[in-house]
Amino acid sequence: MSDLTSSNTSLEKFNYDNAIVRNFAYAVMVWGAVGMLVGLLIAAQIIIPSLNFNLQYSTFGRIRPLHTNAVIFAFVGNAIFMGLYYSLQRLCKARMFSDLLSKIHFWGWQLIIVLAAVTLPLGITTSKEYAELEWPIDILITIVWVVLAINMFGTIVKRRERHMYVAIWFYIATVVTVAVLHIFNSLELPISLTKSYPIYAGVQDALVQWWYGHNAVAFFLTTPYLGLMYYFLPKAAERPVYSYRLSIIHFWTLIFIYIWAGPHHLLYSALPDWAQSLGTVFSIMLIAPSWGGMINGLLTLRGAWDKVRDNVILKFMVVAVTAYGMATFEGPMLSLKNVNAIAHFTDWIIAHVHIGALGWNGFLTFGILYWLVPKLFRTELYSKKMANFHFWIGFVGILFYAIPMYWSGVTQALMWKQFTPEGVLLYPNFLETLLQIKTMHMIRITGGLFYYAGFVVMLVNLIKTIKQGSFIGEEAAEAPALEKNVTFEPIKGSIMKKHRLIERKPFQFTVLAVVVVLVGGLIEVIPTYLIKSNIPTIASVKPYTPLELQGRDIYIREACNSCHSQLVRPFRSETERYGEYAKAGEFVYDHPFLWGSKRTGPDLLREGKKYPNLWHYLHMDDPTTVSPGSLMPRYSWLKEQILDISNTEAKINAMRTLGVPYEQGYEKIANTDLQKQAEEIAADLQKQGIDVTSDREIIALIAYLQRLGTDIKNQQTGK
Amino acid sequence: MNKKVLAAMTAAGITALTQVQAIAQVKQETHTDTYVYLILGALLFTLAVLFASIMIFESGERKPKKAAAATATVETPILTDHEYDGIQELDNPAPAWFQFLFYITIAAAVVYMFVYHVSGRQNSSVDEYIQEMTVAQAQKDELIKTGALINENNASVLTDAADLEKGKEIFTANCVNCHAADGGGTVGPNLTDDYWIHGGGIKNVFSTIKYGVPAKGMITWQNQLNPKQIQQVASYVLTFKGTKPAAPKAPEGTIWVDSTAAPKDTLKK
Repeated sequence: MSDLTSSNTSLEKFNYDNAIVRNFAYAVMVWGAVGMLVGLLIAAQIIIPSLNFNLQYSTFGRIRPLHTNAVIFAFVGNAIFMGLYYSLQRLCKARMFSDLLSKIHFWGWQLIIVLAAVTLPLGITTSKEYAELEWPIDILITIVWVVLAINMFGTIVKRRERHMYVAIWFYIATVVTVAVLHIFNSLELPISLTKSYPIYAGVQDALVQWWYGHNAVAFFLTTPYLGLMYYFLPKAAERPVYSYRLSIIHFWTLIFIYIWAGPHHLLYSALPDWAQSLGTVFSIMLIAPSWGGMINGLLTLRGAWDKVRDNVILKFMVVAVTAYGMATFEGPMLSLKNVNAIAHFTDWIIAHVHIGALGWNGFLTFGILYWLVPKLFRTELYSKKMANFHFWIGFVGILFYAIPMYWSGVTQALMWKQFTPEGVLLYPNFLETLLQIKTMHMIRITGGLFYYAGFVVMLVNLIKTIKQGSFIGEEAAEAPALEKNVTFEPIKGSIMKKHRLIERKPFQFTVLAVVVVLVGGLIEVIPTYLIKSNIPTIASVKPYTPLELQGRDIYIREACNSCHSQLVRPFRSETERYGEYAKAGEFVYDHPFLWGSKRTGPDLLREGKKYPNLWHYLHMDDPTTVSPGSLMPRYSWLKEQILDISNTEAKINAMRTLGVPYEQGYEKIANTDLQKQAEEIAADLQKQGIDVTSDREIIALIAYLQRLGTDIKNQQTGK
Repeated sequence: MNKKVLAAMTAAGITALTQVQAIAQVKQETHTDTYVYLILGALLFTLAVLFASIMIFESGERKPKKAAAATATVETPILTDHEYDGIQELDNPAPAWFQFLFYITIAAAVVYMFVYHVSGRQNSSVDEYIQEMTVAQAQKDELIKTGALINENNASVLTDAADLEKGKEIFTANCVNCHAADGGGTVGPNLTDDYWIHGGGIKNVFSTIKYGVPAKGMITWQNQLNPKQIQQVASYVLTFKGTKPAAPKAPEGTIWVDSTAAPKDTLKK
């Protein structure tokens, strides 16, 4: 084809910016060490709750999002940018569009991570998984993401390569889709610099959150990594990519289908059945497009398997791609209702995500680092032996992590569901099911320690490599400029051949990708609005009292929802254990929804009025006094700290703006009501010998817990 | 423009039309499930487009490949003229099993949506639940009929040491939080004295344990303990009478007189 030769154009000289790549690589190493260490800590806290050192800043609920944010957005995020900045420049034969934007992007992203590391332990959180950061940081993320987008598209525009390689397609899909996801899931109404409420409530909020949560996995942990795979795997293997046609098919179908599958996180929930079914069927259809990536990766090594034996980088990559294939098969299986009924809320899901995180993201990142760092520092890897050791201990680590977690997930699920011949629960005491899997949790930590040990060995190896090498920030390159006003020969043949056309038109390509992603997005978003009218209203469901609202925010601050669900599913084993199953109409005033995604502790949807106030007081102060052997940490500061009621007015106003029917002017008298209710609870406790005043945080939390799930009971007794 | 593209577009168009019609009909009926049909229609349309596009992607390439395979040696990879920073791309077709897998999953999706939302079968989550509960209730009824279940009307005091030992175990696991290990009471009332809030005697105690007194914080135990267990723990509770707990809570309720036993005694006198 004529467009490939341009011999009459003179070569242009330019430099690749390697300094920015190196900076991101350093960030990967630092944040990986931090994020995984926090992971080890929270894994230990599940066995020994006192490992928060009785500090509110280090309880499981507050630092679990620190772990997830650090490994997803800091470790994986920086790895994406490291690989993207390296490969994009070379695939475009151009320096990054703007050094300034590169720097803003780098430092802006690190600032976001630091802000996350500060605010999350302080309990400043939206409670929405993988989107916990509060609104000012959300805005900062948006700005930094736009900076990245400008920098990336700017580079693509001034490229010296006519066609965009498949890696770039994945980068484009990533950048535009993450922007859409982030913005729509972060629509929230601020009441102060550190507190906001999502505009969605209940079922609607749940659907938007898991549309986001699912696609954060898709477009932050998957598509950019496929882009990286398409560059670094053939580079490391020195083999051509197996199938260009497969790239086309699996790229377009992957980004099209992925966006639909979010509701599979809400099977058997109060979400309408048809939305749940959509989640299931699109997850099933996702197998082939996901495996397209795996096949193309593995078959690229066809004829080069002898290299895999000797080349540790390829070993890492092969395990990564295989783990990707396993996780993307398991995901659709977990979306089948009968499998989900067992696996949801258990450790099975933790195992599943760690196959993806440790295997796919972790190992691909390590492979890339071992390939890239010696290249950047123009030297050989310091020690192949250490890298091999890292590979094996990391691999064993993944097995020691995942197998016990699968085991424990199934064990606990079966214990939850078992009945005696007399028709009562065989394990009525939830704690019993938790203590049963303690050993599995211990083995899991061993797996984590192995994996971490491998990571530390890699750090040493890379630092030694860096020390022995010499870094050059500006790598000279040359390429002919693209001819302008070229007339191309028309492409004859199938659409597959015509795809070549759009590969040289980044603008049209991006528009098409956005459309393909938005089809699913829109059809999923439209229901979120339809759902509002699709929810049968329950007359007895009333807005929270001001004290309960404050208590709810303490529940959010302490992230109780990271261990306790508020979603009784329609199973006999759950309604017998907890009470009536969750109805969509119960959550209409819940900004945000607090259904949770994991039951490390029992469900709390019907907790209200189950136990007296005194029980809750003693339980919060030290759970083991009323529940011997409990693995919940103490929340003793709740009885010390004074509830901040200065923001009650703002909270009531915000809720009213969002559609919660508080009467006009109620905000002025809200605190009177609040104090009255608080005094009643305090009086009840004092009567039973507890020395507590009505202004403490624990009073508000008790008020909220006693309200939970009771509105529907009122309706039943009313009848 | 090849025929297949035209055919696919026509198919998509027809699907869209039927969908619009379906919506129109649904609106006339003002059916509550309008949204379900709307979504289903959109879904079918999307699937049709998806299927058609895969067919189109593949159609042009399969035939020449077969022709090429006949003439050229199969082992020689077909290299495209693409080259990016030293990375080349082969022009292999997607493996046949991969495409087969894809078609199967798309077909499975259509069948799934049909079975769950069009066929009219009762298989929503709540339907499943009702089914499950019906079966459980039938089993329970059977047990009651055969007299295998003990209830508050027929419970008697167990005096067997093994039963009381079981009762003690249950008490230790579930009751000591509120009633203390020696029955002296903390959150809950003292069980060692003659005063009972909800009536003494095996039947009342059985009933209080079984149904609980949620307003006062005594939870319902019938979903967690089987009747035998309730009988055992109730019998154990009655053995506290007259013991001296370490920190007895003040009496609550009224003195319990066994009305069934007392008249008999007076008669004897």
